[in-house]
Amino acid sequence: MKDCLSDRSLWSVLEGEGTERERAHLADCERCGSRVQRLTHDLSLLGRVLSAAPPLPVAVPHAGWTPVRWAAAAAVIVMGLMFGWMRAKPALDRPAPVLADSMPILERLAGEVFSDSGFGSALGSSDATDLDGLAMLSDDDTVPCEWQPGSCDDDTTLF
Amino acid sequence: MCALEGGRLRLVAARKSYEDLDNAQRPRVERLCRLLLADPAEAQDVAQEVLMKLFQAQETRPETTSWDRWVMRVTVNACRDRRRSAWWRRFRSDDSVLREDDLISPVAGPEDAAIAGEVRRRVWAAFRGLSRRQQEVFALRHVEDLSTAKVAEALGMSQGSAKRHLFRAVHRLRLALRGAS
Repeated sequence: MKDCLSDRSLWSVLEGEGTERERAHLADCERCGSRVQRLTHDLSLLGRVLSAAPPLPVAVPHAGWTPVRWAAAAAVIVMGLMFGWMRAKPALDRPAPVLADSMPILERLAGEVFSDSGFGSALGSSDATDLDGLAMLSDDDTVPCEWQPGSCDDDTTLF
Repeated sequence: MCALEGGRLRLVAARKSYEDLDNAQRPRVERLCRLLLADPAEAQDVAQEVLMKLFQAQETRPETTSWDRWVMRVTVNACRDRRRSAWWRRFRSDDSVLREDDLISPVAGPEDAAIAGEVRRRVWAAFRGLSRRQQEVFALRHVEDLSTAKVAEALGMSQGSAKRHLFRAVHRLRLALRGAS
């Protein structure tokens, strides 16, 4: 009894494999013999059931499920679009500290470029012609040397 | 005129040849497709594809004599392809349920009719619950009656692997047969 074959061994013997000892046991043991018969019967029955026309699934629409499925898909798409939009926001919408960091540099740059050079007032004079403005600029000592004829002897630079 | 006649003769011969092949192979191919695909309409589609492939292969390689294993292999692969691309169709399709009436085959013999509908339902449900490999191995071994070695060859796996899958499939199907969960 305790030497009876395992299901795996029994199946192997039925498949035409198994050791000599297993086959000899099967020939002697009544219990294992009946197990083999049952296994053979089961396999035959399974083969017959599965050989016959399989059960045809009949389409029965479930009123509740299809809209739910499409709604879930739409929600996923909308969430994806929102996520993508949030990631691609314009630079102005970025947090204030980023702008605050860059503001002093920009102010300094603007101060250097538009310093008290008379250039702004020349451009701002509405009653003078362009040529008058240029003449005024050339007479002014504070105009950087780059704007005057000749070279920059005193190494004055704009920036 | 002769060329036209010759072309027509070839067409008729090809049609005849395809009909013979269809009659000989369709039941087997369709049965395997129905086992491996849950949807019978899809099974018919795939069976048609396989038969066309077989016909073309026979035209190009008439020297081959044994097509059985080729057919099994191509059928299994076609079913795999179909199952891979089935998720979108399943998403779009309506839910379907199994009706008890459909579990009895319309062409069942007396012996088949004796098998209770409940047993059929359990076995089919268990078969659908098997892994893809287990389904393929069991279908080829115990429905198509191929040897384990041929099953392994048709599925491109080792014999040991085929046996492992087969044993697990048999175990689970037998449990279903006895009504165990």
